Amino acid sequence: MTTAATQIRRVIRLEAVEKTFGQGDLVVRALKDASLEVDDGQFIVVLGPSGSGKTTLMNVIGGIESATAGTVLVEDTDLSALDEAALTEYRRTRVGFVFQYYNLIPTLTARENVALVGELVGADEEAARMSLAEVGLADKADRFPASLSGGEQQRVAIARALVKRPTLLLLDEPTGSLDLETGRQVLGVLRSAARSFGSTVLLVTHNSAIARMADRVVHLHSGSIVEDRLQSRPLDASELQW
Amino acid sequence: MVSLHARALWRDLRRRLGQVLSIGLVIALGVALFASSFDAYLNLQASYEQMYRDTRLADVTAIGGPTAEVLAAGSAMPAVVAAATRSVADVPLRPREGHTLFGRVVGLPPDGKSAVDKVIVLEGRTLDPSRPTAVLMERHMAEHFGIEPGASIEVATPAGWRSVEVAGIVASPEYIWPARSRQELLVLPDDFGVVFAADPFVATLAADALRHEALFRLRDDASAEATEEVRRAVLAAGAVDAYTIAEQPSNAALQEDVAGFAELSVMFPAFFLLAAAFATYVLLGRVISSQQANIGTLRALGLRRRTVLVDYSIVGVVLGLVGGVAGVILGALLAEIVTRLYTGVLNIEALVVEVRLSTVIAGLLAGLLTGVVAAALPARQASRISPALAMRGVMPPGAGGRSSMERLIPPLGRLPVRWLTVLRGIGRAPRRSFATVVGVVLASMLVLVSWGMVDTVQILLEQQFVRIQKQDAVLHLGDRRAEAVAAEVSTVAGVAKVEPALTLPVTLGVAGASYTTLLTALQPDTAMHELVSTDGSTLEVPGQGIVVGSALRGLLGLEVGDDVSVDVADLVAVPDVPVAGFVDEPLGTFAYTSLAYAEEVLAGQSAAVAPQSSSAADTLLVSFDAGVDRSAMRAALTALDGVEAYVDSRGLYALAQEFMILFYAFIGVMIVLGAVLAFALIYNTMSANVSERAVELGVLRTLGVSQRSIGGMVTAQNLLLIVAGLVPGLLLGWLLAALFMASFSSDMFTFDLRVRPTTFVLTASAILVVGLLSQVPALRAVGRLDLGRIVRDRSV
Repeated sequence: MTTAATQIRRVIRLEAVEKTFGQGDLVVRALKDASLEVDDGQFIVVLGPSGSGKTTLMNVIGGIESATAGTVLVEDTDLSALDEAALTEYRRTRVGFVFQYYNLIPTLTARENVALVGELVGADEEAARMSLAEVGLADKADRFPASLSGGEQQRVAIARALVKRPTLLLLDEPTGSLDLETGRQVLGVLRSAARSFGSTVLLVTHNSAIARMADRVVHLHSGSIVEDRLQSRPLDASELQW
Repeated sequence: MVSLHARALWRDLRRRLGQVLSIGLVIALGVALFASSFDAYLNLQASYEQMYRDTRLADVTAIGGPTAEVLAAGSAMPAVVAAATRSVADVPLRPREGHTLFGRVVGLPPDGKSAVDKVIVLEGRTLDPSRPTAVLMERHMAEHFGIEPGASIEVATPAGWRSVEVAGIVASPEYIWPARSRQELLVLPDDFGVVFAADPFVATLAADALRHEALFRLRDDASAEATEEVRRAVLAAGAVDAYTIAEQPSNAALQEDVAGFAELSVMFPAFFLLAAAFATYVLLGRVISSQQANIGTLRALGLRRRTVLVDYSIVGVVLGLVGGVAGVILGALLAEIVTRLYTGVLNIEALVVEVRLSTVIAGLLAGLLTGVVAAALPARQASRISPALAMRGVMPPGAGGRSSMERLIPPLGRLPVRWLTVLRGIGRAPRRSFATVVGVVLASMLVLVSWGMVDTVQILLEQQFVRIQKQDAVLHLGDRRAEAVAAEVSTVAGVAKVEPALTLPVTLGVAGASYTTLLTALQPDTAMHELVSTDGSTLEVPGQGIVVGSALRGLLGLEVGDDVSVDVADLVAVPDVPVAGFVDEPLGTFAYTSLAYAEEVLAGQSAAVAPQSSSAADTLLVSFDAGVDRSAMRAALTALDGVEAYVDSRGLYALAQEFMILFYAFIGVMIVLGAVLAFALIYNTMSANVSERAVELGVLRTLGVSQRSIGGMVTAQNLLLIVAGLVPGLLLGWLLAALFMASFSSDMFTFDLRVRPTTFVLTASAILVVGLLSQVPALRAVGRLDLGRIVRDRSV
């Protein structure tokens, strides 16, 4: 018997997902028989070396790529049944992305970069300001990306991803271009902001040190999930070392 | 051996094949336009000159005066190699039963072999001294009436109509364009025809219609100054008028036409080559931007600056050469086609088609220069890339800042953010945006100049044949009194109105300068001719003095109130008359006065001018009821006693419109080329824009921005640039069109630019449509972005 306090919502369910690229002699199986269930609010780090399929996993969950086989359910929505327009709608309303190289629009200020995405879901300017405040950049809202440091740009990217209160926050090597100190700062902001906004986080990285801050670590190797474990005591971002 | 860096560069260009091909096409079109129009111009000039040499067309023709003295004076000039005299009579001819036209009989030696102004026998035989009244018929008349050697026609003589045999059909260099005079370039074949006859026979025709001419052929290498000296000499010897080969009506009309090719060979190709230069600059700029890290890395590893400079410069050289070669080949083909078409249509009995080395070299150089100049700046920029900065990884272009429009209009800053990306996107790559705007400006100019020419010709023809000339027909009278004939004409069913008029060939002179034209004397309250002033208002038929065509302001230095001499051929010498005003008439430069004033001035001389009339009138201007059968009217009116010849005024309008068909076809080609230019340049810049922002646009797609929204943003940016180019483009196009049309204006044609307001709208719409179409490939590329690859590799 479950009580309201212990009722957990299943956000993601992958069943025997396959993803292949190419055809004929040049077929690459990026994901093989991947099955995964993610609960609401979890902070999951997906670990794996280069070419292990971790980014492909993120893309499939994020609706950027379609699985070749298997089932991908996000909040009971079967992504394989969605066409391009529906996938765009899915990404717009339920998924936030953060990339390694920030990919901010250089001609927009920090606030405008966040507001651009906010406009997609009808969020007002105040939502953009709140998002920036959440990542500690309220005082730099009117600066252009060229005048922000790498860490600040990445925090803007996080704010951009969170402004629409996404169900899922997907991050691909968010600290890949940052030094240790900045990386810790960004991860700390990420963790607290995700909690505030109630988003489930999937962070993809090859940096095993980052995994120590996760609630759960999923290991991929050669397209297969080889390990999936909970961490009893996730570290604070400031305690990470790499 | 191609360096690896160069190989990588060419592979990158191969990936942008569409852009490379579009640049090559624009360069080729520019060079082809130059080569075809320039060589066509030279071919046609050479063809004319060949025919004139073969037929010894007179370099100077003297009219009137003491023939022997004039001949002697001209022959004495050192540059003259041949001289001849002849009689010419403008008399009615009847090529077939029931059809009378006001034609011309030109004198030849009895054996048909003139030393100057020869004719080429096309069918039949030449004149024979044993058949002194036989004639040779000029080909246009023969073809129109279907007359062959051996047929008979009638010529009006003082003793009445005389039947003469047509011994042969000939081509004459004086009537390649069968104009009656410099003022009457457009003449219906139903209304004017030329026959050649033995001079003694011509001399027997109506004395009042006869004039004597002395013809002079100069050395082939004679200068314009030598020609002018001969002209001055014959005038000093007493000739009433003298014109040079340049002023000869047929040659003058043809030269106006041919001169258009020369104008086109510079202006339009320049547009294309300038656009191609911008497109090349944009393409290479984009390639360099995408290769910046690679170049930086290679430079750090020791690649010389010079190698980078040379590799990128070679791209410009190759593009320019390939486009230039294609253009020269295409241009040579087009030049031959145009020359053959032209000489065929005009029946020029000489064909010169050459591929000139100078044109080939000029075309290749033009293409090469375009590519080299366009690549110079990007190549220099590439060679100066700092290895350190390049390898650090660069921000996408656009350092960030509010747009100029936001600074000018601050409330724009409150627009939805996606519209801000549009405004600021324009400033992200300012040179590329400028290239787009320049492309739109050039294309707009090309289209508007072309379309403006069509408007001008249409509006001016309408002005000439609807507002100015209101009569439907002109009747030339014989020996009956004008009043009596007019009374009969007005009883013919279908005739609405009849007015008497007098038409005289005159030479106007002032301070040593002279101009031969037609003087028309009208009723003061005429409903047949509107005298339109240079400001568009209507002038009254002057009770005193004459009004003249506005070209005479410049040609004779006249102003209102000046006195001008009027020489009516050899018939009369009249006192100087004052200039009462200037008229603005598209076709020809004429003089007008009232019938009463003409009578007063001719005072006592009118009998010599129009013996058949109690007034000075020798023609009747006739207007018809609406919807009448014009052929039936011609038949009915020419059947009247006293009507010597009939000129169909409305038929001239139809003829002029027919001549315009080729012109419209040419303009259509120009407009299409303008659209191609706009397409090529905007396609280039749009492709570069999208390519540069591909990762950014892919990221926006992953964030949930729909393809439609992205397409809207790209389109909006494109539209802003197009509109920014349209405004100056339409304005500059209008100015250029005015200059272009003015360059064609002369005493024969007055081409003041007239552009309908709708033409501006249509031009803008056409450019907008082309601009939107040209971005379709780029938008399709956005739709095909591999989002997974962008996320994974940050590449496209």
